[in-house]
Amino acid sequence: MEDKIRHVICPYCGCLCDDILIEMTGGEISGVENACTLGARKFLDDAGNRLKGPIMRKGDEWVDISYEEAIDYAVKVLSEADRPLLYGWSGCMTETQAIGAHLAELIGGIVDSTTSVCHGPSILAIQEVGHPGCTLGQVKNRADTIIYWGSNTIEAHPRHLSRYTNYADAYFFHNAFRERKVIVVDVRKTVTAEIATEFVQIDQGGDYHVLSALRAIIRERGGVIPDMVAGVPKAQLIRVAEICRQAKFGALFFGVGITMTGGKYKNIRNAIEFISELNRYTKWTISPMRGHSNVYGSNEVFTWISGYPFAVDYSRGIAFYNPGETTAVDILARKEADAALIMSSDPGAHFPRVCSEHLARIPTILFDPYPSATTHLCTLQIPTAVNGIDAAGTAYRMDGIPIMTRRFMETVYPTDTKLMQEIYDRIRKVKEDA
Amino acid sequence: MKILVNTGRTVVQGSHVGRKNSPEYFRETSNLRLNPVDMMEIGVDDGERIKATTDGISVVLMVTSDEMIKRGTGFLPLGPYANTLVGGTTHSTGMPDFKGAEVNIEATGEKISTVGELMRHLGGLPYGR
Repeated sequence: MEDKIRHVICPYCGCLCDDILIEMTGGEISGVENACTLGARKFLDDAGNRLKGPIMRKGDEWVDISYEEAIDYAVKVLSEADRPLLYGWSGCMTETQAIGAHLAELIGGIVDSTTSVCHGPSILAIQEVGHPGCTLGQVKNRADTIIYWGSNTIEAHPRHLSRYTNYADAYFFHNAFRERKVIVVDVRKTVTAEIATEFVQIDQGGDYHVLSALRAIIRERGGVIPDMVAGVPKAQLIRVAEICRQAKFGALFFGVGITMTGGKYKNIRNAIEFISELNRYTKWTISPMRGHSNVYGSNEVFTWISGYPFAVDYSRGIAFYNPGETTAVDILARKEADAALIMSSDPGAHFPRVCSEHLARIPTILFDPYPSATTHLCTLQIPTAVNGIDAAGTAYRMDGIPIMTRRFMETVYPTDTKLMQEIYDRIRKVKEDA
Repeated sequence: MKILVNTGRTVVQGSHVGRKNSPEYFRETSNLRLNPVDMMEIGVDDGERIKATTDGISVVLMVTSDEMIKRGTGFLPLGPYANTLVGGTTHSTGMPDFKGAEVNIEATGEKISTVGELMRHLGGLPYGR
């Protein structure tokens, strides 16, 4: 039997596209319409790829265990740990994130999301100088000038251009595609650079210099700028600054190309201040290109609960936040954590080597429907229902809009929310009994 | 030869994040793109292998020429191979230096480790069912 389900939310990236059409045949996903390649593969690769049940490392072999045994192990490890790290949280829903934050408080652990290795520096900069942002709907209908800085959008957020910027129809334009200008700033000529009105190729690590030069030009202090700034000719910088100043409504989107390079959050601070300079003349906004489907949600939820958006350390009995000390990479690189819970994330593939080595040394409990790089490092993996396929909940789009994802498939797997609630309740009882 | 290695998302890497142990993910994330002139200097052709070393840590990668890559730099899709070359220092920000690692590259005939083998080197146990 074939069935078509409309208005499915794609749970891949921070765009959270809400117009996906799924074709089901015989209870399995057989077709995907409207999604980009990344989103389509997320749906189509699901069948046959999931772990059948929890697996546990015992010596030199992997053994299948029951969900009950898996929960018993998780409760024991987490309730006995002195410095547990609860990391990930960007591929799960806000309901699970909230339980994670409360669990960290209960066991005196650290709760950190993948934010710390994507847009953590952006949040640090926003905490210093604020965030002149807006929703993607405003950009779609009003922006005549777009900058993608350190973001290969066509490969990382493929539908961002067609839904919100270059290729999107706009309420306030007759022919948006012809009237919009797109500026791409990157260290290499990416596929996104090829569609740009103006491509600015900078030297690796030159973001801060180029932003400072643009700020100087906007402030009419262009005379102090040398002929070349981080590989960019002065004439091009003047041209770009003029395009920005002439815009009626501009939107700068930045990727991890600028948060991960030298300077980190100071680059973002400079970018925000560049936008502030432009707002003396016209209207500009700036927003991070958030990667995981619900990484923004983790910042919202952790802030409601603890007052801090990521890297929250409860070891003192109160929430303490000091990125660089309480962030997951630092905790693992210093070999501090004595247990780890990894929720729908893959540090084995995305953390520096020293961190992965430490995860392999300590009891590491992984919640992930699929085998990943972290599978090989963990002690226990618990497969869950997949958020956006056979589990539903709230996720935050990259511009801070909460969207309810849809469950459109029957499942035999427990949701991560249900498992985390059970673990939380059991540990709470252990603590109360003690 | 010393180069600066940049990392980032590619469509192929991103399409296989749910299948990190697949041959497609392995081929994409262990594939270093280099400027063809740099490849000529170290004496490797498309599809051959190099050993990338930084801070005494090495990883074997396949190389592909890409004229869009500036000389003296390389691009490696994000993943476990790229992160072998990343240190744990975050400069008090929480963010390691994922971009711009200074790496020494040389031609090699050694085999490229699979994702599972890479994790075994880190103390893990490859899962293969």
